[in-house]
Amino acid sequence: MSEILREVPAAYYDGSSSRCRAVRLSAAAGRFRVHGEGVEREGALETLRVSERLGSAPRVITFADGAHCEVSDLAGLGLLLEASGHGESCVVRWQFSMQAILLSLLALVLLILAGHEWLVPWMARQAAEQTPRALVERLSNDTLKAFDEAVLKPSRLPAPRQEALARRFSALQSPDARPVAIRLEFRSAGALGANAFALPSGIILVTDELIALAGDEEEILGVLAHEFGHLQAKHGLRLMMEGSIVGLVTAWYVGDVSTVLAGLPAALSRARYSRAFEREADDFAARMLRVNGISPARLADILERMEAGRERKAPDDGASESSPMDYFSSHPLSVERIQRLRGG
Amino acid sequence: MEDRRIAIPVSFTGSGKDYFGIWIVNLLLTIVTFGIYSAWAKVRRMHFFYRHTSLAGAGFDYHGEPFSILKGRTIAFLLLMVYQFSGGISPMLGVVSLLLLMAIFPWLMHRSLRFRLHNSSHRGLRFAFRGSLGEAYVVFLALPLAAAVSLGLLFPLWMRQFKVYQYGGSAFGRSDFECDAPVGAFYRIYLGAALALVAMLLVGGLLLGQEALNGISLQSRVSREAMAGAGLLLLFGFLVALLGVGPFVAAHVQNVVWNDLRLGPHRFECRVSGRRPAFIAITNLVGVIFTLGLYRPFAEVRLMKYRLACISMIPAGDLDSFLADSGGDLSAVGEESAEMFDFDIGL
Repeated sequence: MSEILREVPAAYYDGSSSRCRAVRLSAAAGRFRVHGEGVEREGALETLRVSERLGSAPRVITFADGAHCEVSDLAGLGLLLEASGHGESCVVRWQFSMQAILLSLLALVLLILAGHEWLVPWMARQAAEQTPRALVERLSNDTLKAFDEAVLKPSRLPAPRQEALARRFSALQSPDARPVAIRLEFRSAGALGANAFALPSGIILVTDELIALAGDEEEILGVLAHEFGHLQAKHGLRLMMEGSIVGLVTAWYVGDVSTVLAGLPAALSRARYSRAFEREADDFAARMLRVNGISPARLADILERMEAGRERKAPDDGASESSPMDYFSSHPLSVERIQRLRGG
Repeated sequence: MEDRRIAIPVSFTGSGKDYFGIWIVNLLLTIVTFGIYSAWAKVRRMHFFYRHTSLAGAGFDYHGEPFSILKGRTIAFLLLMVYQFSGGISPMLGVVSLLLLMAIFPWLMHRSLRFRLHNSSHRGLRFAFRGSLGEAYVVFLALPLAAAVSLGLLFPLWMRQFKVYQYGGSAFGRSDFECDAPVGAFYRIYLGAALALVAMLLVGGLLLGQEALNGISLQSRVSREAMAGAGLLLLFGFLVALLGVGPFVAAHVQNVVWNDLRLGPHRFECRVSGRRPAFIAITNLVGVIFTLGLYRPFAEVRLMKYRLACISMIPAGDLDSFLADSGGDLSAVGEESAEMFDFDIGL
């Protein structure tokens, strides 16, 4: 192969004035040459810096003294660079290879799924462990206050009955041998119906309607054990953290378009995760009940009755099952949970 | 030369297809390296947008170093972490760190402007930012506070001072940009936007009231759902209003600023229409949502193409006679580490 002198037209700027000079750039035997419009320079190829490929943009060749050339003849420059043995970073090759782009897309989807499945819950767990006690208290009190203002009314349950229930539950043994330190709060819930919620600081909120629905005290203890399971595993905080992490990432990604939309995926992921948490809390409750000589079937009994009550309230309209409050209660009562408690 | 006052349009030739590959490799490597690659990603992104932009046949270039950007991002990340967690530990500490953040914010913005402009070039000459740090404190601390205290009455004035500081403080080589956009124009823009928002909210509020009344008259249980539905509707309306009004304001501000901008004897012209950016913003959002984000690079290119196509330069004489700034400013580039906020200067 003979030494071919390849040439490309270029626009030359010396770096000290904005004057543009039309030149021709050539390379051979490890040296470059630029000539035209009063410019005449040559030197070793290693002293040049060649900008990366970028679609249709002109490429920039920078000289050691800060002068530069803009080359719009991309095909010609490509041949010249190839002939002079110019290498390209692998990142640049990926950016313009269809295969690499498709593979990146696939890898990205897998990474996002894996992150959502494992990394987000793990981070949420770490964050929940690290959350300062004062913050947890404040969050819980704020939530309780918001509930009180929106839907709840003072309980009509006699104080002695409330105290007796609290005493009975605190006297139970926890399966992990830790003390049962919770605060019971009783409220009348009206349309909200029979329900119980755990607030991260250790408050369990029980509605009068739940007490009325329960056949006996053991059923109430079953529900409390379930909520206590949520508290022990910090489900509430973890759920909140998961929502925050997903929301943060989405806000970062959507960013300039709208942060309002960032809340949507967070809400969706909450609904998805809560099912696993319910099962975990059920398992905890079953263990706790058994330790104290109560059959886990007692929890199944009251769950079944809560489910029946819900169906009566909304006989035909499937959509009304997702009324705004159900979002907070996140108790997807299902046949599966009841069977699990009975079977286990 | 007879007719020297011909407008030369800025052109952008980047394609969404080319940017897609850069974008997706950037995203993947950023995730795999836990964000560290984001500095290199940014440089590749800036190269793509700068080098596809040209004026009178000459391109623009970006010279930011990934390590400087990484340093800046690390500092920003640490500051945000400190702010986030101090509030959780005690409200008092949260307030203190907020005040500290407010006190250094103007300094950060000043550095950020300097970094961005010193690292931009055209025809082999660097841009520069020569606005003073003192003015940064006026623009990024005193005026925002004044705007808040005056219940927004001073907001347009703040925006005007901010733009004048940003554009008027810029320089190309030895030549300074000058900008003296009239205050009245800013008040007209924001007044128009405020009126449009109020009108939209009024219509939304009326619809909401009607909906709520319907709900209550039927049944109390239904009314809660009706309220929730109406609330969602209001939220959606608000979003659309913001999406429409935001680009409208940005477009008119861009027009006012660029039409007043001078570089020595040269002038500029900017003709962004009020409706077109809003249309682009809304269709881009729809595209991004329906492609689960994959349309994002195309959306970015589309918006940039439109924004740049609206700007042209009206040169007085040839563009070959600018000179490089001989001052030592260029050697200070390395220390400009604080590019915290992705900041669009609109070039």
